[in-house]
Amino acid sequence: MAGSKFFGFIGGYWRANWAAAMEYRASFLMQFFGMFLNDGIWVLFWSLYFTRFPMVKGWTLQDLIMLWSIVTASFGLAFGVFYNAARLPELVVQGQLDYYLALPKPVLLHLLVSQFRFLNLGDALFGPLLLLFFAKLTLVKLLLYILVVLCGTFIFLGFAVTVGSLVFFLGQAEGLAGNLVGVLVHFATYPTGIFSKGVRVLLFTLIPAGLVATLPVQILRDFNWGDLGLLVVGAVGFASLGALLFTLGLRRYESGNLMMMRQ
Amino acid sequence: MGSRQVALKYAAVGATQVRSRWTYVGERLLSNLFLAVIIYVFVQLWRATYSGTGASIDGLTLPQMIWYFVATEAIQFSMPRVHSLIETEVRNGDLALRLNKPYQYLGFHVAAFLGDGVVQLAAALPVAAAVALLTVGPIAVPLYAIPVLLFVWVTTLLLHFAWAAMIGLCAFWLEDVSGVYLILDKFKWVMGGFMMPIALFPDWLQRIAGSLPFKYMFGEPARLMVQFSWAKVGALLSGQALWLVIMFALLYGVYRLGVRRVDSNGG
Repeated sequence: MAGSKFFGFIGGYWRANWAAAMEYRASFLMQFFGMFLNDGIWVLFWSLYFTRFPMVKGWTLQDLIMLWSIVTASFGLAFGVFYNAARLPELVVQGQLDYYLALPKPVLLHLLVSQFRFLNLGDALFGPLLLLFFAKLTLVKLLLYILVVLCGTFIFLGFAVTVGSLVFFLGQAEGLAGNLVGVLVHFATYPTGIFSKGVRVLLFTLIPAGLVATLPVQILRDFNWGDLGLLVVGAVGFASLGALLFTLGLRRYESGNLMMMRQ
Repeated sequence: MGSRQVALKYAAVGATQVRSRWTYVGERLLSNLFLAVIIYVFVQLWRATYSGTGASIDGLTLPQMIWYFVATEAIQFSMPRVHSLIETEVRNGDLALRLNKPYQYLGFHVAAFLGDGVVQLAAALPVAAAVALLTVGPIAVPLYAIPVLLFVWVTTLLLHFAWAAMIGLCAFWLEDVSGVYLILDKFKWVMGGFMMPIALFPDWLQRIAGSLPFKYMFGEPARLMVQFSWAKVGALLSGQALWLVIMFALLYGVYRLGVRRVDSNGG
């Protein structure tokens, strides 16, 4: 697909998704601000925790705020803008990929861009605002923040598509995929330093919570090219793994023969 | 109909719910593996915290702190998503169809909520307890405390029901209650001592949390489990009784206001 057509295709979908959100404006705003305040309450919890215990394994409240601003932004972008990454197992099991297969666009990309989730768009805004209000920012740090959030978004997406594609091979694995994404998010919202060495290895490989949370905080706190390189490799790796498993899995996909409107 | 027959009717609703949900208890156990991760992460966080502070925080040892979270998580995981059920019934009009049935709408949901809750508790508590046992070992809970704790679980769940049902009934006025639920549920978590015992809050926040019902929905029942005493039982049950009266009166008021907006157009 040529560059302009590619961006035109994505832009067209996003405009349509945004129009759909505005059609149910009250619902959109309730979900958006609901999630925004939900994240705020989590940060309040951490503020209370660090008021009582100012430093835990080298982590301070400032680090936790940085972590939450990165994780919420990258998670919010991944699942707010590309919500179907989380719905992949459900779409496969219900045979709803037929719609995408019948059209002359890359199946995975088409699938990912075709649905917003209003709730998670609240996360996507919460992260940058948290950073803006509670961290000392320079232009370089701001650019680095954007870069690490984008890498985190690719890792979240790659991971969700990877575990979601397991459903092609295992059959009914919707619950498993949802649980694994939940586990990744849960680990990502805690400082990695509290875990044992063995678990930390796991968190930088199989369940990349360290890659989407701790490593970006380290990069913003104490920049070095090695860490940034590792993060970029992680992002490219997980995105490629997701695309590869999806492509392999698609060969095993059987049509749902559905006669219905796409949701 | 006598009060005994009324009680039997709702007991039958609860028992039916238990039977119908029990079929899927194995699947629920598997889906609660996420709960195992939550408890494991709590163990790591509080182990790191204790390593920097000493053997006791707010009178709780590390195993007691972890079992406190086992109790709060078991309460949370045993709570059916009644707000969403009521929201759906209000929005698609099922509520109007239920008004002419020979039971109270809210009474039916209370009974079904408790029935469902029993199965969810059976699927959550063993998972959370197993992780706690493997990581920090057991704590001493006297045998005679177990029936009392089960009774407290029921009264605690009733408070949660009133809170969640009120949120669900907001669907009479709002297009979507999921945003309201997110905020109010997390508010309940923080103020109830779900994420951290209230005694660890700053004084000003402890005073606010102390005047709200949420501590009776998480913190106090969990504290009772890890440091059982009859004095605590009395204080907890009297506090819960007061808030049950207030919250169910509020719930009934919201329900009556909402039902006035229902239009029925024949069958």
